[in-house]
Amino acid sequence: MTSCERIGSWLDGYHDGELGALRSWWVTRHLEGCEGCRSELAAVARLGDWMRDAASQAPAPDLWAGVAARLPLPEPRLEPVPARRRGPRWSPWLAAPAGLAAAAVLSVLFVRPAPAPDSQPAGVVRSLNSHGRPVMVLEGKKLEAKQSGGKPDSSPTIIWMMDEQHDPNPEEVADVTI
Amino acid sequence: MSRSERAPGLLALLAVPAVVAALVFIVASSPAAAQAVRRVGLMLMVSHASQRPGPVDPAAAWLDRSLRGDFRYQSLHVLEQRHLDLRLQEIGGVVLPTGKRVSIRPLHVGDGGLLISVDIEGTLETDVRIPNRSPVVIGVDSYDDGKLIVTLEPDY
Repeated sequence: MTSCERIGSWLDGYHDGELGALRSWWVTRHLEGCEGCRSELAAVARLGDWMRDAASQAPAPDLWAGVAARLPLPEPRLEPVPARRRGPRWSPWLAAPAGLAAAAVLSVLFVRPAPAPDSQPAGVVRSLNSHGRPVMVLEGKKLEAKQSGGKPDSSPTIIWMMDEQHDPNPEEVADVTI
Repeated sequence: MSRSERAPGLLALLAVPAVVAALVFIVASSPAAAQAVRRVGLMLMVSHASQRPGPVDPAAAWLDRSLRGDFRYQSLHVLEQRHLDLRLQEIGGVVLPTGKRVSIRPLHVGDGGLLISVDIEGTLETDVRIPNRSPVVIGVDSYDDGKLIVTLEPDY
């Protein structure tokens, strides 16, 4: 698997912010020097925008009237309806609000909101000289929920000096072995 | 000499100390002066992440949570933990087991947190601005089948 193929398989997750910090760092580093993968990422972003736009467009108010007009008329019932019904009978006046409520619940469950803009202020690392050694910087992010166990509300900024022999190759390594 | 001729001289005599006192007050109460005398606390921790199977030190449990997703190791031990109380521009630090000295110098306190200069002898020079009580983790050098990790957390 080439470097671009490996990175390409991570682009969806990278765009959605679902990658771990280290993979995200690798993708960022790769994108800086790869026009093809940048184009691929732009395409992923366009697709996401299109999906969000499509999901956010409300149906036309007269949509149901048009659909109902095209539906075939119900055939006359030949068999008599049984006299006893087990459940309560749904009034059409209740069915419409219930359908709307179900649609609202489904839209909440399945339509992903646009990601909130990053509220992190200017970066933590203001200057850095690693004397030529490769160094990975993972800027910390605010977390939504306070972690249990005391320490921070935010993930820490990590400055990681790579050993030369350990500078991992994204084709082989997903995580860094210390 | 008439009274009207003496009056300006007397006024000048009173005005000069008043102006000097006002200037001293302004300078002493300026943000720069306040910064110069300010002391800041810093938690400094040196840990060792190792490939040898073993426990995670409870004092480094939060660090383990931060690293575990991205780095592979078997155990995490706190080697040293100290609280530094430094004036701005004052240098404090610790010597790592490798013999390298870690020098910490707080430079400025602002809305974005504490600006600190970190110098790890021959390895890393960096300036970081860290919000209060937010740690910065620095993976430094390989050491004894693992890696030395320095963490800094302002506490002021």
